[in-house]
Amino acid sequence: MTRILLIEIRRSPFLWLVVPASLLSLVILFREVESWQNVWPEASVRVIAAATQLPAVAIAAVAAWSAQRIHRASASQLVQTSTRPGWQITIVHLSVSLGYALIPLAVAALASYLIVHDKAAPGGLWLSYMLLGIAAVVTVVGLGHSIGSAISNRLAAPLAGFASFFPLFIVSILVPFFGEANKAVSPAALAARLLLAGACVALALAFGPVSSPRRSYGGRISACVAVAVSVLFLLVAGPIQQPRQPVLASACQRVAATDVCLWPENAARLTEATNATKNVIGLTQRVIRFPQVVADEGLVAENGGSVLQIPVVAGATYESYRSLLIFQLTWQIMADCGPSETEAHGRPRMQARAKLDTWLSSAALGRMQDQEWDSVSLTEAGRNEVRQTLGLPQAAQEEWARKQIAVMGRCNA
Amino acid sequence: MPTTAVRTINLTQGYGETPIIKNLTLDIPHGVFGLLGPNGAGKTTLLRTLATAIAPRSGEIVLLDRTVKNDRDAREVRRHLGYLPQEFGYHPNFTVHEFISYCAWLRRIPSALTREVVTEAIMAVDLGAQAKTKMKNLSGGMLRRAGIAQAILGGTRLVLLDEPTVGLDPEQRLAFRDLIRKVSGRATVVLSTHLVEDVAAVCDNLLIIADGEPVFTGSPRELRDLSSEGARGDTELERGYTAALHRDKAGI
Repeated sequence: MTRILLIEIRRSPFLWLVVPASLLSLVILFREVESWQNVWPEASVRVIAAATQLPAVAIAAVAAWSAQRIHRASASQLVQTSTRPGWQITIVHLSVSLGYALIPLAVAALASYLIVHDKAAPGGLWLSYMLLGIAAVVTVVGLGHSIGSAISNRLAAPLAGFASFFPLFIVSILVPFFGEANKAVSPAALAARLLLAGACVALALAFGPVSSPRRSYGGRISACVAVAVSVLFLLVAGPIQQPRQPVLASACQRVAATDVCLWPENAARLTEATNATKNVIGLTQRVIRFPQVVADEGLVAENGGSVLQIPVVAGATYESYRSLLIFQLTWQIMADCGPSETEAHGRPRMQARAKLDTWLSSAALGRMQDQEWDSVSLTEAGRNEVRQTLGLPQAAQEEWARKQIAVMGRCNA
Repeated sequence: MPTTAVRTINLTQGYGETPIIKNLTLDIPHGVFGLLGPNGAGKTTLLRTLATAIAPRSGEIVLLDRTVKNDRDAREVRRHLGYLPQEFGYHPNFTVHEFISYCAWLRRIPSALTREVVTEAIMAVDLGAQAKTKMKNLSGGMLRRAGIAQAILGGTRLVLLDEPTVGLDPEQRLAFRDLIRKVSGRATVVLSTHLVEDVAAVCDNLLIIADGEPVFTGSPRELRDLSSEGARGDTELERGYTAALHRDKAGI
């Protein structure tokens, strides 16, 4: 067996693909290194996305090309008169293709590990995401192999590439794009993708060459049914990621009277988050009473009190954290007037929130914020009002802000 | 030791509606057996059936004392069966050694023996110098010899060769005949060919089929005896061959 594996390894067309595919995955991975370099789940998702999207399209095409060798060589009689059952012949061929196909993923994982382990909190790449990546690679290799075995036409390779492009890019059902710390892989979704990968391997085995003179379609039909069932399971299993169980905030830092808490995985961003919070507290200290805890979404604050939950965004930086903080803060100030509030009553309150948001963001930036970042409800007049306010003395600005807050809290204006 | 290596009983074979082999009952004794006949006579179909590449439409085949009824029988027989198809398929990027090793694996030759039997087969067809050459870089004659090498691998007891001398130059054909004589010491060889002189040189017995039916079975000497004044051909054997084709079909 070792001898045959070595022959297959030496003669596999994947030998020519593995280096460019690995390089491509590294290029994709490192294009936005700053967005994942210090958070393990984010790095994990970027690894599988980089190694399974563009490279996997090529991998599927080469798997189809490789499986077609029996058609190209007109060598079906070699298998038809073989002592070994067809599935054994296919499994050796397929396992070598799979081995090669997983190398870009392994290279990307290793490279990201070396980058992240110095910068992030102790930990490692998340196994669940790695399993998703492996399942995606196995799926496209199995699919490509099946197409190559079933179709002797030269179009099999591009067809396999397209067939993989669809689930990877068009509907993006195999791997997620972002790995926010407050999310984890849904066990049902992972099981569905592992099942699909297994079904695609079964499909490749079923469509591989057969050594029986009596052609039976039972295996092929069963494998197609298995793929259909696993696709169905995948659709009903729901999104790939689900919110993690809330945990007690542990990675916290105090600024003024406020605790800034992040998920432990985001601990490397705590300084940036604290600085951003300090910045916003400085701008609002004479205008509003700042919450006692600013915590990532999904965290449970230990000391109770008023808590402002901040959505977790993959690749969050100082600026994005500050924007999110301002956004959430202005929404928290808004009074909940209930469903009976009319649109006419609600509109001035929404306008006041939008003005306050743009004012705070612009004050933090030290210049008028670009219009594209404004709230959609901010009118041109409102934006001009904010611009004029920013030119006023600090005390006047704060007075203006208090007025906006008063409007936001008034349900029966 | 049984007297026959291959037996077919009322074998009918064909593709679609048209039968190519019609109700053939045949005993192939040990030794070298030639299969002659015009194009389309059914030689290749018969060999493919004997190689268990296609299942008989009806009738029975017994190979090496085992009736081939199902896949298990077929696989068991294939352990001892070597087959060179007329259109020999190979993996072009494999070297000769790799390809023959791959065929040994397909044949389930034990790993411990593989190196030895592969080298032996390669040397037997005089491809030792090309063992590390890729299959795609071999000449037509060399490819044919590589095909023969995979057919005679290991402990093969039945060797089915479909047009094995196509593409061989005269010297290689002589070497091939020597090889067949050597192989016939341990295996029954069934040889399909157009070349009557190959049959005369190496075969103990032969069958001529036309339109899927046997028209002659016997030894090359008996075929020569059929030779008549009016028959076409440059040699006695060729005249016997044409005479056999044109006389009434013989019941065998």
